[in-house]
Amino acid sequence: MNKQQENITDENLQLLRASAAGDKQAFHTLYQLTHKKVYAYLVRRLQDKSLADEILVDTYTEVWKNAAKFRAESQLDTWIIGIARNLAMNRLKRQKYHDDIENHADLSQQENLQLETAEIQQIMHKAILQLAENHREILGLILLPEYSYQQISTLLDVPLNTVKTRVYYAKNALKKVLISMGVNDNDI
Amino acid sequence: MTSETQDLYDQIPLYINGSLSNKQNAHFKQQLKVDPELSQEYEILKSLQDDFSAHDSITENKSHFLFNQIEQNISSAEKNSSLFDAFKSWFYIPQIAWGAAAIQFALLVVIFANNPQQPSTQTYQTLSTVNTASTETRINIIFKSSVTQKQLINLLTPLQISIINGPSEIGLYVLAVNKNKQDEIFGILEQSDKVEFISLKN
Repeated sequence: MNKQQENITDENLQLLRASAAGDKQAFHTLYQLTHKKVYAYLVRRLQDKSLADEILVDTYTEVWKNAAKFRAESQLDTWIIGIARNLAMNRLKRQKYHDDIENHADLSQQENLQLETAEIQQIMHKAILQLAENHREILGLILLPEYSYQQISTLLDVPLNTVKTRVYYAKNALKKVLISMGVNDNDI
Repeated sequence: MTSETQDLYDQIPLYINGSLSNKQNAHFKQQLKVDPELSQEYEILKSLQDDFSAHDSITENKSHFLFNQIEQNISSAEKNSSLFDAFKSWFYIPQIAWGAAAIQFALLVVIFANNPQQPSTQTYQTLSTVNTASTETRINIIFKSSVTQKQLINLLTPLQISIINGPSEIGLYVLAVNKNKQDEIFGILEQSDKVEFISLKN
C-alpha cells in the first residue's frame, strides 16, 4: 500500500471511531468515501441494482451498529465489503435467484465476426450474466479499484494462492462462455 | 509457464484497477507490447472492467437517497432500543422490583385465601357400585362395522341407554335399559339397520 492509500485508511478509521461514538456527521463522511466501492461490489455480484440498493442500506446500518466492534485486523473497506457480502449471501439463500438472461443474438452461426466496441460490451455483459456466481464475484472483486489479492484473501478468509487460483478459473470460465456465444479467438 | 510469466498474468487485474506501483506499471506496459497472449488476456479483463464500470456506478442523488434510508433505519433502531432499555431499566430500580414481588405475594395470598383446601363432600358412583338389577335389563348388542361413533350416540342417547361394557374384541356391547321400556327399546334396536346382532342378556 502506498503512502496516499495509508493516509486514506487512517482517515477512514478515525471516521469509524467517531461514528462509534455517535457522530453522525463522521458516519456520513465515511459513507461518502467508501460506499461506491461497496456498491460496485454488490452490483457486480448480484447483477441487480435494486437488490444492491437494499443491501447497501442494510450494510451501512450494520456498520453504524457495529462500528465499535471493528478491530482493525483487516482494512476498513474489506470489513465493510465483508458485511455486504454476508448480507448478500443471506438474501440470496432466502430467495430463489434466477439470472435474467435476455434473448441474445445467436452469434455462433456467424463466423469470423468483426465486433465493434459497443457489441463487445453487449456481449461481455451477457457473458457476465451467464457466469457462475462465484466466478462473477471473484472477478468483480479483483477488478475493484485498488483492490489487491491480499485483501480478497482476507475478505474470503482463504490463502492468497487460493485467490489467484480462483481468479484463474474464473477467467477461463469467462473465456469459455464467450466462445460458446460465438466469439472467436481473435476477438477474445 | 514460468513463475515470472504467471506473476505477470496475476498482475493484469491489478494493472487495470490501478493497484500496481509505478515501477510495476511501467514493466507491465512493456510486457504487453511484446507478449501477444498477455495482451489478449489483458483485453478480455479490460472489456470486463469496462462493462462492470458501465453498470455499477451510482449517481449522487441515489447516494443521498440511500443514505437517508440508512439514517431512518438507524433512528428507528435507536428508538426501539431506547424504549426497550427504558422498560428493562424499570426493573432494576429496587423499589419497583420489591413492589412487583410484593404484588405477586399478595396475589398468591388472595388466591389461597379464597380457595381453601376442604375435604370434598362430592361423592361419585361408579357403575359397578350401583345395584341396577331391579330397575334395568341388560342387552347384548353388536353394531355393524360401518356404524360411526356419532351414529351410535345419536341412536342410543334418545333411548336413554347406557353402555356398561364393551366393545369387546368381537365388537360386543352390553347395554343397560330401563326394565319398563325393555320391550319397546329392544324392538327399536332390533329394527335398526345399524345393528348386526342383539339379544337379551341372561
